[in-house]
Amino acid sequence: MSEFVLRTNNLTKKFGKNLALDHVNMEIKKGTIYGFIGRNGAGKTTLMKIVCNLASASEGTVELFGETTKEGLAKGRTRIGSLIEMPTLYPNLTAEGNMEVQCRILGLKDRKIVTETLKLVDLDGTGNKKVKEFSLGMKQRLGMALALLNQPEFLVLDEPINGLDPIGITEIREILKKLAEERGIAILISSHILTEMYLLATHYGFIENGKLIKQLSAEELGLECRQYVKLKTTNTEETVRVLQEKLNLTNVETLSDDEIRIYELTEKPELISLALMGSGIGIRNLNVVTQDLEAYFIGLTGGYAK
Amino acid sequence: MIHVISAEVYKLMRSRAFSVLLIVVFALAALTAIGFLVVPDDFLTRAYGGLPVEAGLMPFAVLKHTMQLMVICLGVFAGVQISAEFDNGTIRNPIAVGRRRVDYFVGKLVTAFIASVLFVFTTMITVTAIILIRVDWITTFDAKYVWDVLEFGLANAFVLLAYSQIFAMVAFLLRNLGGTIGIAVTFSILEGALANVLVHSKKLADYEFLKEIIPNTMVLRLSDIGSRVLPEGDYLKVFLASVAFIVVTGAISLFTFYKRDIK
Repeated sequence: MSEFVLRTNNLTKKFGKNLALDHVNMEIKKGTIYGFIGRNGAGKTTLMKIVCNLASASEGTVELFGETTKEGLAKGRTRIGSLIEMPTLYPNLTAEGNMEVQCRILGLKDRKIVTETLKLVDLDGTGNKKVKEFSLGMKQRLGMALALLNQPEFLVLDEPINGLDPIGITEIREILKKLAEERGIAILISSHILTEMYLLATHYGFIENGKLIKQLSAEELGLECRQYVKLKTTNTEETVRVLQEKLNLTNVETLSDDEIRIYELTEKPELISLALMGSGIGIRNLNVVTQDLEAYFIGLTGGYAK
Repeated sequence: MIHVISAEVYKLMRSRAFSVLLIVVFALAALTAIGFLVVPDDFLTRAYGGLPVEAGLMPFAVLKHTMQLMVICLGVFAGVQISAEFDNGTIRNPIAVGRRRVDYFVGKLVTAFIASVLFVFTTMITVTAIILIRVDWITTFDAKYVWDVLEFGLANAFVLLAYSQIFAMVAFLLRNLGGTIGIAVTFSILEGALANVLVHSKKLADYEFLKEIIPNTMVLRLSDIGSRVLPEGDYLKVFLASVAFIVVTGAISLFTFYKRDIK
């Protein structure tokens, strides 16, 4: 038995001359929540579609639960639940009707799972209301319920919290955490809400222009996310000169007219204010900041403009 | 495969579009049958080129007359059943859980057959019910007649199924609901118009080889094959022609569906 639910080997996808995926080697272990982060069009959805057999790879292979053969992959996909881009629902059926269709596709006999799953996503009271009358958030929850119906061992979720209200987002986060912890389900999840990803994921993969540029665990990310002292003064130029002279600081970055980032002395920021005392420089703001996932991602991909 | 078929049948039975189409077919059959009832017999006989139209032949005659509309209904049906699944993304549901694309195609074929059978027999049963107004059922009942209706109906259902696969093919190619329905309606109208030209073309009708191949140029219309073979009762030919048609259109559908990415 492979410890990996998903491994891709040089996975490449071409659309004409465009490379949507460029030799991607991704690994997802059992029980991990893999946050897949990238800009729009970076290749996240394309990779997820190839994993779910909705698109074919131009080169490279996909390994699901240790299987790479056609039959093995088809069998592996019966152990996957997915929600890619948008919930795929029959608008004229009820929530239960949609679940019934999926039960039949999956060959599930016990309908108790329908009630349980709908309850899990808080849609058990929708009765005869048709899906076309659902709000975006309700549709998203139903999409999640469909993905969970076969009690998957691997969940592929592309922007699953789109359209959810803050309470809904928290609930989905808790459900996913519970599934990973209690059932050992591996989750591949993409989202543009990076604060959510930071709270949820145990591992991260960063994709840019079809290339998987970095894979790391949450612990490793914590180590890589630098702390710095954010300092705002009345005279940045003079501040930098004084700090270099008195504290011998070298890792200093001037961001704007009044903001300086100091990547040293994060444990003793008071030394900075003491050094500036009597120099005639006014301190407007001084605090220690830990770089977040968003800043890390921007730093990794080279800024906003592309 | 059986799971996918089961899901397809479930969806068909709960499809509002299908219910509406079935009602349209019923209404048309009823109106045509009532029209036949009120039209004087000699008028009908003239309309059928001197052939006497008896009440017992009405289910067959009405079916022949309504085939064109049923073909359009099946075009709409293919659009709703296949293209709409690409439009709203539900096509992904079976594929993403490891079901084969060929299973999905067979599921759609089964539902198209069910639809064809229901369309044909809705028409025939409706007409039979209406002609009972004029015919005393008890004294005229003949078990062979029921068998004839069943046989004829099934033959026509097969022809309709074969016909519907043109639209299924268009649906798999276009993956767009409006486009599929548009092509289905346009195609049916053009085909009907062409057939009318052929039927009324004296020049064509005089060609001996055509007379030999097909006793009537109307046979050029696929939708007429079933009703045409009735006098000879050669249903095997109908079945084989339909199967050949389904195989060809099915191969094209599967070819376009098998490797293409699903958006």
